[in-house]
Amino acid sequence: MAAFSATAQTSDSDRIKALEQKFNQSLSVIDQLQRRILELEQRQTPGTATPVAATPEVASRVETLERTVSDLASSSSKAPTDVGLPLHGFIDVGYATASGSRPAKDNPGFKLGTFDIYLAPQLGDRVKGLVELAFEYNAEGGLGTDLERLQLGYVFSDSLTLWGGRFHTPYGYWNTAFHHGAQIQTSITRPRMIAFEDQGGILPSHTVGAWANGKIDSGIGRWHVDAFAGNSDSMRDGTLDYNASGYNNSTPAYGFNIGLNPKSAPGLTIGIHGLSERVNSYDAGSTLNGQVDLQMLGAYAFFESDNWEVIGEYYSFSNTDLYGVSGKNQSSAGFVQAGYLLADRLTGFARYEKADLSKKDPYFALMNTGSSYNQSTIGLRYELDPRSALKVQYEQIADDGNAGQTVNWLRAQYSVRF
Amino acid sequence: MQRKLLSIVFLGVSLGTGASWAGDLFVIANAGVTLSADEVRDVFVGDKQLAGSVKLVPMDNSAAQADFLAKVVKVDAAKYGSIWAKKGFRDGINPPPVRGSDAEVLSAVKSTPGAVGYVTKAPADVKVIQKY
Repeated sequence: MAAFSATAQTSDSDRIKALEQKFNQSLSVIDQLQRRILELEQRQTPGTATPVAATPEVASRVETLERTVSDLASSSSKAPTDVGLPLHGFIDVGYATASGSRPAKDNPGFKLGTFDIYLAPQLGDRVKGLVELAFEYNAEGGLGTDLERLQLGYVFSDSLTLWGGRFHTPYGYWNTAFHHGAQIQTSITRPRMIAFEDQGGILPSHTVGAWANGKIDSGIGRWHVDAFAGNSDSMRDGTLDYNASGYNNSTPAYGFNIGLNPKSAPGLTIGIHGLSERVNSYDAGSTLNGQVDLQMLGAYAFFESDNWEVIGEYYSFSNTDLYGVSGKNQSSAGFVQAGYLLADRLTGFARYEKADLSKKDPYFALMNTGSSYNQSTIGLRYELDPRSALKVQYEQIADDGNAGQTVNWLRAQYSVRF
Repeated sequence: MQRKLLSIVFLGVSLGTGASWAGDLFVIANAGVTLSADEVRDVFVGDKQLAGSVKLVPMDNSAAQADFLAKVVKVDAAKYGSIWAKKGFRDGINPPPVRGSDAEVLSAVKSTPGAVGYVTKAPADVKVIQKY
């Protein structure tokens, strides 16, 4: 990166020097022409209005000047296309207070959210990259740094881009559309079922592997297709681990997501998604304590208009216990969220989410946050400007993992994108 | 009389400050680009990145952007920014660079392979995709 930057700076410096030289040459030619015109005007006798024909010398100089100006315009027009490497990202801070019997590790108070930065270098006409880094504090107050995404892609056509690296697992709509982008998601929090792996999510929100995606236009609308293969996750001490350095069993993860924007319903996306992988679970001492074939199938819908934003996602699990004796277990989870523009810059939103997770299924039983729950959320979002938003949100959560007790949270967040 | 005077002053200030001008709009492209008018919106919201084998390079024109967004993309500037924030984050595509005038766009479109832009005056020596 530093070498790339240094090379770019050298190149810019050379170009500026060349432009300066051309500019000085042009000034010199203009100066000579002015002097020549003055000479010609002085030679003309008063009363003779006949235009003076350009001498071959003047014509030649004018031609030179035109060429120089043309070259300058051409050079200057090329310079702005090299826009360097734009840095984008998100920052959020907030406050939360709770009532009821909240779990001990969920502390109320002021919160540092996530500082997320990403780069999308175009490395060639068809080659592109995506690098995202996130800094965030965990519940214990420790700062975590996460290489969220590291992707290299090749664009074969608008219908097919092939990526390799670590990417956001393409299920549903939310996970790839918003992820760490607090400012671009309407609510403060993600639905818990699709929270990040270390924050209570029940699905892998990241995958290390290969991902093909693209768009295909047809008579009924535009199809969005994702297909991926990657490392199966592990569960370590109750938390999913995406296994960045290779899977630890012989079964890779596979998944797909097929969405459609029907021509007959502008703004609507409907789709189906699926995920299959074998998950080994290890206790705190790294001893294998479970193995499950995870099978998820589901559907989702997203609708956006001038005033409305509606998102619904549904996940159905049919997991097979390969280590114990519980056999096949069925579970489900889903949420629906609606936002409506109440007034200029002010959006109201509400969300309901419910997870009904089998206690017999070791995939959920061994997971720290694999308990059934339901949650209702309402909130307001105010756009301070197009790049920053102020949000408040009230949640009511009934969690089997918290002895079914109800906890209420009131949150506020200030989020910015750049 | 005062109202007329105010109108003239307002018009003068509008023109002088380069405020958006809801006149003709010409979508133009580099000579090597083959594109239909129906595809222009997709190019400017990042849904179309290639025209045949040519990598497309859309560029905005600040002098005519409001008019272009209203007529072609059918969104306002805030929504356009939001579309690109989401598109860039999800798909790893950077938003079009913004040029400051018709002359800048014309010059860049002529000299940049794959370039697509828009200007307010009928250009004589560049490919016009569509007039709005």
